[in-house]
Amino acid sequence: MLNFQIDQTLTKKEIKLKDLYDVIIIGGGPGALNAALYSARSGLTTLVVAYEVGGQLLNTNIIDNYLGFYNVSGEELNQKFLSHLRNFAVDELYQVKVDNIRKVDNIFHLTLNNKKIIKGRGVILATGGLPRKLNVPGEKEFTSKGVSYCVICDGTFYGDQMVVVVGGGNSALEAALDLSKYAKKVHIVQNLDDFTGDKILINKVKNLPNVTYQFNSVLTQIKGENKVSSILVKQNETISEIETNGLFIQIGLIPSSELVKDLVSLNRFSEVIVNDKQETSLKGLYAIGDVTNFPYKQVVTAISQGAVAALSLNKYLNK
Amino acid sequence: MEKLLNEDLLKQIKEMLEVMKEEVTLHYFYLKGDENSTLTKQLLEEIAPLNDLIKLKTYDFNKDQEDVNKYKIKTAPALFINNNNLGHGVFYGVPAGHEINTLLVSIVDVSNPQAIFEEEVLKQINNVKKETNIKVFVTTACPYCPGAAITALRLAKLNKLVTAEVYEIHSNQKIAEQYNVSGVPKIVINETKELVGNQPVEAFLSEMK
Repeated sequence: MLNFQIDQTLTKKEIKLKDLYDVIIIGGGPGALNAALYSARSGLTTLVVAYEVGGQLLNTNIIDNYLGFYNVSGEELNQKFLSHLRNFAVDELYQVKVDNIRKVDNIFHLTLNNKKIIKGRGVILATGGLPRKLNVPGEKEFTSKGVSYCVICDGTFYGDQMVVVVGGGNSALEAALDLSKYAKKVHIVQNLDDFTGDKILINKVKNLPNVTYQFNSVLTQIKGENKVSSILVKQNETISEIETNGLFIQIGLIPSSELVKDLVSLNRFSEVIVNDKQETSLKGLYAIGDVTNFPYKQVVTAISQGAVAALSLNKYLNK
Repeated sequence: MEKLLNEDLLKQIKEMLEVMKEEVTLHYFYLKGDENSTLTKQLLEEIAPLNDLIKLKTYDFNKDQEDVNKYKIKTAPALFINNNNLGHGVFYGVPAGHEINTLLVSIVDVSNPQAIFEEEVLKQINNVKKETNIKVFVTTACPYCPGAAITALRLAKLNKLVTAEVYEIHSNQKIAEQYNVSGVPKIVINETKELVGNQPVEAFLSEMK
């Protein structure tokens, strides 16, 4: 329980913002932080603006696929990234949101939720994504009353109880692994005919005595009175009711591209379309990580895209 | 007794507290013989010496009735951070895990008269003209919880009509059950409005109208 986790980004620091930055990075995940690192190292005046720092790392208990850091917690990795970045001249503005972006005479004007406007010659969008919802009856009604999208936050509520995880990728498998430590039983409901995550995770899950799963199954309704008590699941043409105390929905992310939907090209999944330089369809605006159309959403790919975007933007600004 | 905070943590905390400007008193209420109370007391005793501006006063919840009533403490362990009669915000439970941030930021906020929010938000906070109670339920493992807890305590700091109560659930299971909490951070405003997640201050203010 003690496990102290200090987050230096929560203290309100007095910061004198520049009138004009070379680069403004929107987002606080690993891709954003690495973009800031590369941008600062290129000699560009750099500002990171985000509501929270960490991105998906905050939702991830253990990461063992980021080379050099075996079995590290998401939070620890996040703190390492932030500490590394603070050796460089990067301005940081947290606990704010960007409400609007406009490009005026080759300068990007970003309006924040506190009505301040910050300006940059280039922008790197690293806004990641938000948990995808099932959009079934009962989901909204029972959010935080048995329905959750965050195992780290809410897993401990289900000690010695039955929980269901919906999904079949790495997030769902990791959720099941984490929950199996607390819960009496974990049941996974996956709509495809198999898991789609990494083999190593699939094997771990399949070997757990308190984890079961079913494929080709769709959750159709969440039921309960004051909190979740059961779910309805359709498999083939049969609907069955599964009693459960908690439901963790882990079916991927919706890209947070709302801010730029009228500025750049998006694909049919609302992901920002980028080329191999991380350029979007708007000159000077780059995008990286989970918000883009790159098909693999990993810490390492977001970080590498951060570097590419910063290097590309540096070249663009200096031509 | 083994220290709760290692050298690295002490160094980080000391750095965070360096921005303190004014004296702050931590009024800490404990239950004698209670493990959570003992842990929290030890934590505060390790933090308080890191900055000369921090004063620590401790009270037995079952014996020091006058102070319990004065600071309107409902249960223990509880921490009230004061600086010249500002608004009323109390942390109930053990500020461990991520909640150490709620503790540290609250100390810094109370100690530092700099504006926390922009003019527009401050106007809205000042426009709250009725008594408002904000409860925030948190767990120590939740990385999003300090944001919500800190916002609630900041609102209480800036408007005397606002009271904020942060409940760390492990130490306050009964009240968590009473409010049907199974997802955090959970924010309850005036017993009727509920928010979930690390909401921005504007979302709080919208429900406080």
